[in-house]
Amino acid sequence: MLLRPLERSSNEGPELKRVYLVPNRCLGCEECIEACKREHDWVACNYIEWVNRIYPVQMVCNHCAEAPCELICPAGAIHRTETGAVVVEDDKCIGCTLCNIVCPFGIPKFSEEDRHAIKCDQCAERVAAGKEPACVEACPMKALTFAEVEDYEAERRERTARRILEVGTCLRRFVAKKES
Amino acid sequence: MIRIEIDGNAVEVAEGSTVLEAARKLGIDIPTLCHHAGLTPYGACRLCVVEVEQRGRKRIESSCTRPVEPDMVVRTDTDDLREYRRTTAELLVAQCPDSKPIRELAERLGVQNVRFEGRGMECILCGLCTRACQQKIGTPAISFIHRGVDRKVATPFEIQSDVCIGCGACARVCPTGCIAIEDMGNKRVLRVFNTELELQACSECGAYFAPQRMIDRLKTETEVTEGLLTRCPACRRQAIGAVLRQAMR
Repeated sequence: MLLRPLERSSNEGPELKRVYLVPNRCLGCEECIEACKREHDWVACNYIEWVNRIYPVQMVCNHCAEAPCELICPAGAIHRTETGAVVVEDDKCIGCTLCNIVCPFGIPKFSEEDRHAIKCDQCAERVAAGKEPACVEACPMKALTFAEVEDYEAERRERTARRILEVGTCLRRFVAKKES
Repeated sequence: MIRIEIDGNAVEVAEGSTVLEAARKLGIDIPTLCHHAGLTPYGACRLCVVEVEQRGRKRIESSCTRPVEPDMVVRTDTDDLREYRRTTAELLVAQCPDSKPIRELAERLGVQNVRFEGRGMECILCGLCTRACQQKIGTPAISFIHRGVDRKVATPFEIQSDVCIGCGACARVCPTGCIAIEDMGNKRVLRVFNTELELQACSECGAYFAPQRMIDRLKTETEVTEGLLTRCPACRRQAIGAVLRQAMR
């Protein structure tokens, strides 16, 4: 049996910065896809999914802690880099498409032309040079953020707090109106 | 670490690596057809020959199968080697005259006209497909059969394979592009191997996305999440997108 079972624990690298999405800011303009294409030889590795045909949601590799694609890859072509990203080594990939089949998010795709799997490498060169990934930089609505999970959660808490505050003031005005 | 000299440049590589890997580390381009970084070296195509000088002796060897040794002096681009490679490429073109990648490579190596009689095959017997299938996928669905001029790659008895999971790795590592995989309706057809596989339909959109046998094997041999393998990747994205939208408004 050469298909490796999904039990080997993947080395959990340092705290990884990831690309996070704020769905209600996304317009579905596909600038992120175009930026990804420019960065990666005209093959994009992110997607825009239209939920109920109305709401756009940008989807990209999550670089899972125990990544099924990494565990399943029979050629050992998918591995975790020092920065924590799960990447495909193009020249080791034998093109069995198993990564595509086992990904719970359906993210890795396959280039019939280059004959290897394609997935997000979190713009390794750009990040090494101290820049943000191409999709994050290109987003005109700032719907994508490149941050560690704590930073992203802090931002989300603040956002929600602000909304609660807004709702609170609305309510107060409403109550005040009724009383008068 | 072992230090060797390639074309006058010194390079340090780990023990056990091959001359080809060392040359690639230096950025030296050695033509290859049967080499794949993810598979064991085989030395079938003979295009990667280099001149290895050790203790005053010169030998011509295939760089993909030659492990590095201390005090090796390697030359990758001499007149002799170019001649060897040209003749080998000519023979390969004679073997499969219709393969575009082989013709292009032969042209690059300086083959003007082919002096040998054509055999009209499409396979150069490099063994990449059999190695990928046996070593990596772990299903010995295809292997070399017959001897000598009759040698070819096929399934046992050249009939429908019982173990092929239809992953298509053989087609994607093939340097000549002679293995075609066609999805016709609910069947995946590998015509060269006389094999037909049933495809599984997505439980949501009904698109055929993966061979039934691959899914069965994944279910029995791995611990993939229950219900994951019934949906096609596109529908999985849709489902997760909807969850994200719900959770993070």
